[in-house]
Amino acid sequence: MSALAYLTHMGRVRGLTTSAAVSRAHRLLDRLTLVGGKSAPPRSLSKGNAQKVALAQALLVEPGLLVLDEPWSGLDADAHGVLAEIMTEVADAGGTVIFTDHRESVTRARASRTYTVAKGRIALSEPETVATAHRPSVDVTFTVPDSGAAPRDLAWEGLPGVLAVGRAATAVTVQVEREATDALLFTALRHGWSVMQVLGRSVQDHHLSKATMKGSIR
Amino acid sequence: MIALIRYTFATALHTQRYLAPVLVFTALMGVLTVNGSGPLPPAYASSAGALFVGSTWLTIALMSLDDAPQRAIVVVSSGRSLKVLLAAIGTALTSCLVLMVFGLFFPLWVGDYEVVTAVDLLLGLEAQLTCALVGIAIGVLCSRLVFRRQGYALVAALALVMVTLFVKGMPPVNRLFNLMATTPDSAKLLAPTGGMLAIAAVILAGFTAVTQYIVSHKE
Repeated sequence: MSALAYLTHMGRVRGLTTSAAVSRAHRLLDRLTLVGGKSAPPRSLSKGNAQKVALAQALLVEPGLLVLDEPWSGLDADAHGVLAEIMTEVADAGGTVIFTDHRESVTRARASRTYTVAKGRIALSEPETVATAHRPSVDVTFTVPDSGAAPRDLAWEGLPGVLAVGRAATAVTVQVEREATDALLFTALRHGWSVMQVLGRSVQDHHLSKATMKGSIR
Repeated sequence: MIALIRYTFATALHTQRYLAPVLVFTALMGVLTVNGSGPLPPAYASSAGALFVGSTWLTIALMSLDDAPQRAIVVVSSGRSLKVLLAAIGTALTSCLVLMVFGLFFPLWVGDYEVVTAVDLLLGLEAQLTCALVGIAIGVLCSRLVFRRQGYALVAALALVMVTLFVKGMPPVNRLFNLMATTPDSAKLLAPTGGMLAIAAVILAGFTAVTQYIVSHKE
């Protein structure tokens, strides 16, 4: 059974009409840029793409509670941003997103509240503002290149390690954790952005707005 | 429910898990009814017997289509595990209805029977439906949902099929076959076969309830 047919069946099971299920499945698979084709059976897809089908299945009907177990593992860099956007949309629509991840930088950047599981106990982590204040970060400014094709749009907030984003007419300044800087540069360059400035910060020097990282996920 | 049945059908078709039980059914039909002659009830007893074995195997296959994580996804999507179980039963029953048409007309095509009346056909339908319901009931109980290990499920299913087929005078299947083998008049068999059909429906309801109880406690 193809990924599209599978999602259509699941949509119908969840109460959608056939046409609504088909169009929703198309939209979600297009948005998540399923590699391998919509007509490929989910079993034949790679881990990351099978994960995209699973994610699309969870989103066929707007979820009130979305539980994701390490959702970024296996996903390609482009899908990272889309996933973060989707999580934000679910939260904005009044839903709750619960997700797990081994990387503190990811949970801190995206969750409004984080819990740590250690030695069989769950504990509420310290507030993110306190945690981030002690971590070294880098401000990277990207700009639209003078010549060549216009850069493709990126969901900066969703990329790993991104702490804050400031936007201008033709430039974007991203505050990113130092260990995630190389990955950010690589992704941005692949999307056609040009690097204008890379500036390391001291731990006390946090002047960029953190509005984008707070309260996006309830 | 229709969406779930469609999903189960689609999965069965794509995985081709229906092939073996359907082949067994057609092979049994060929062996048991080719060149038949005389009154029709014994021939329809053979059709019902073939469907009994085929429906048991088909139901076990349908109940095991999804692995445990996928089944959990379907249960969450549909809201209740009972709905998923009933959908599998509905799919098995619908498939058996298709096989019944074959079981009803194949003996007439390959055999040489005296007079064929509407009552004969009705009796054939009743007998096959009775066996299909009992077969589905055994298939439901001996599925992966109840038995974690396929080997145990197979042994349990074989044991139940043997007991149901061969314990003398045991309703509904063995009693039905005895009646149909010894009474050539279809009209006289309609009422007792109806009784067996009712017993088969009760058995299916009971086995479904037991399976659902076990499944809900496991989940």
